[in-house]
Amino acid sequence: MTGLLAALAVSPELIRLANGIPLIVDFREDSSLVTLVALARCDDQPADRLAALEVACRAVMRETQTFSTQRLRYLSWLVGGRVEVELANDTVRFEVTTAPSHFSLAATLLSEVTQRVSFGYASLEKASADVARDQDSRATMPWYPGVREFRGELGIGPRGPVGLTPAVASALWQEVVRPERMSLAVVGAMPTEAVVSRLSASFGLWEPVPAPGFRVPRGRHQAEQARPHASIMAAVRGPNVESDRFAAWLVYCTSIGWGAGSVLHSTIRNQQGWAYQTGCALTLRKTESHAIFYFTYLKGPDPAERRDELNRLLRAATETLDQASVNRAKALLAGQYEVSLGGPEGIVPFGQGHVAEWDSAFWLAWWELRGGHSRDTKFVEEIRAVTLEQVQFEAESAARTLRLKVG
Amino acid sequence: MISAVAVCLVASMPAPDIKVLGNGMIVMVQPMPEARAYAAQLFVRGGSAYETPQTEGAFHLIEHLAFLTGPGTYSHEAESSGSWMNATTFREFTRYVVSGPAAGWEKGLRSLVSLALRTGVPDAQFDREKRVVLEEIALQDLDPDTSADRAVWAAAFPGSGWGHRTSGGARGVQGLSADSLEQIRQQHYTGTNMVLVVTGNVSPERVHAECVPLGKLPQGNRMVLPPLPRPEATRITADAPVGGARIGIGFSAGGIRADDYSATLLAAEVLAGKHGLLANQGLNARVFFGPSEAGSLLTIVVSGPEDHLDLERLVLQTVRSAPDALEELVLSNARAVLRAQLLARARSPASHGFQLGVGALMREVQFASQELAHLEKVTYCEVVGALKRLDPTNAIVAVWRKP
Repeated sequence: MTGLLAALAVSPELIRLANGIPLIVDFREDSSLVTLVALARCDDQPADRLAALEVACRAVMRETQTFSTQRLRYLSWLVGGRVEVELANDTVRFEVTTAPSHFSLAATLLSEVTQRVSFGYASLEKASADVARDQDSRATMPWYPGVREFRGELGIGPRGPVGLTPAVASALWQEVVRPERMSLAVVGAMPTEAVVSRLSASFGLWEPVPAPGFRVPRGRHQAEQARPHASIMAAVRGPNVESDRFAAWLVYCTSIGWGAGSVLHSTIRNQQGWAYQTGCALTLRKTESHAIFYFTYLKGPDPAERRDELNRLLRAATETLDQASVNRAKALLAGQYEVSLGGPEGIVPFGQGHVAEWDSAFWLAWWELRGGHSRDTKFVEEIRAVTLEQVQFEAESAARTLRLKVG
Repeated sequence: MISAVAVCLVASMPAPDIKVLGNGMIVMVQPMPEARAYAAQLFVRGGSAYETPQTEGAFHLIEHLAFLTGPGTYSHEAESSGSWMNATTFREFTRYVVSGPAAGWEKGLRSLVSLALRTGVPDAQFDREKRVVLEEIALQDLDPDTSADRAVWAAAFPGSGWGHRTSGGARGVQGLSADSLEQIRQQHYTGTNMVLVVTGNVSPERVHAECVPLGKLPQGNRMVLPPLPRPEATRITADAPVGGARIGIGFSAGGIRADDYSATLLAAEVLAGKHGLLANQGLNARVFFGPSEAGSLLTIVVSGPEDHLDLERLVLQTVRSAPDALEELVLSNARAVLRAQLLARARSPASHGFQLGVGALMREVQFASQELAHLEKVTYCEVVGALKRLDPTNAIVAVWRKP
């Protein structure tokens, strides 16, 4: 009878664990996988702490208070599938995707790496080196180091990796990864009852101690490498996610910087032939949002001329954005919100659609931290309702906050 | 249990609806009623393996030019229905894809059909697009892992199109003329050399109706893939152009029809996966291995904090001892990782359509539906056998010193 009631219940369902952590369960009978996602919001943390979190995330899979390195590795082997812990722009993201038969192990693994992490000098040192190496692996996106540097300057994203001591890493972890900052989502072939029962035991009884005082060392300003590419960037500010202006601001960002029909792609790439890559990188902070529009090219031509062109395009947007360009942006944004396979920054807000279980689980948990998971299904309607006038208003407001940088 | 369920899930998908147009072009439709998305993909038998030293980079530039409509691009059209358009040039083929929410499939497919039907190279945009391609090539040079993979292929197949980078070299692209490109395009962009695959929540009848204009393309002659030379064991050493020390090792591997294809995939995951034997040594490894008709190289690129000598010693030691060191648990994890990837792929119209298209282009239509079943059947002994065949003494090894 209870099973029948669960089946009749509206999916996804929101359940609050005993300690208040929201858990959203989307039971999909036809799935053969299950994804468990835990997010801890860090969109209020300063840049240096974000840099430290980036390193700490890379170190958590090494050892916990319960499991030695070997045992923890053994546990992740048993779980199989996708096991990920990372700083995902404005949240710390934990994910395990596995077979439903392994859900219990997945819950154990996730509760270990959220609640009982043990940081060691060696693991933090390796994590710091891995973060630096990640920058190498993103080398084909020369805009990335420029955008990262710009985000660091604006105080909204991590700069170079920091060297952390175990004491500081633990204190920071306790400060950010705690029930009142977290949400959980489970999507896939796992009935709600079973999920609630298992996660109540793993997460519902979690009562963290207050974080001790700590001070994160300043992020290393990575020496400017002799890069062959120049990046021309422009940062603008916008409303935060909870604002009713947010959808219009996102349409404005898409009109300017996203897709082959965007202002940057049609002008900088198709008309001028200046660049292969043009785009827009978002940072969604608790109090406001930021977009960095960019394009990159092989160094040589005078960057001032190109910076001025970007400046001109953004300042003229209020006049040049028309109904057709806004319609394109709305259609692209709504379509890709549903089914995008993912962008260059990995699983981050507005970086992927709702294709796989892990995409949907991320979105449900993410929206829950920003006003409620039900907005996930309503957001496409919000995009479709945006008018040209609203986008022009956002273009005008954004132009007033414009900051340019050549990187 | 999960593996049996997984195989049933993939096997339960209805067979794709296949029609062959009068000019030989294959149109495949795989209805996926549960999918929120659709994908339409055009595969053309033509990629860098077909190039000569004089035409290096031709297929990639043709791919770029195909998008341009004059004032805008086909991508721009597709975006107005919420879809996204892209293309990639591989060694054996070029793939154009448009994908988006299921409701927009007809508009997206129409953009792709228009792209396939366009003729000629737009003169006004030719030089400008060359500049864009040169920018793209410069970007690729910045990725140390893919650069190491390219170095292995170039060392394995010197003087052959198989050794070309798929996007062409800067010098090659600069030397290409619009006329030579048009000649190549006319040979390869013909009915016999094309496969169109549409996957997702679509109606096969309506897809076939939209594809009728494609019958107007000339039939052409089936292009024959140049034979893949047998590479000789080689070792090259150079200063890393970017990043730290790296070792790239290329092993000869069979194409999608090879008996040991799935065992090779598993062996690669066992060695170089996230929880694989190389990761156990604290090394970072990436595998480069794609479906191929003629056979291929499986390249593993490894980086770590060590200098190149220690790195090479550690990598070779790990690869050599892998057949003896393989534990059931490691194999089971590798199989679980690949199973999850294949299952996710089977439910994604774009990924499943890619496998269908590659299979059809390579005359192995069952490839997509049987891949998972093959993976489940591979035995421990077969993976050990595949690991033994990844013998570094018969490999192409590229060693990059940290400058």
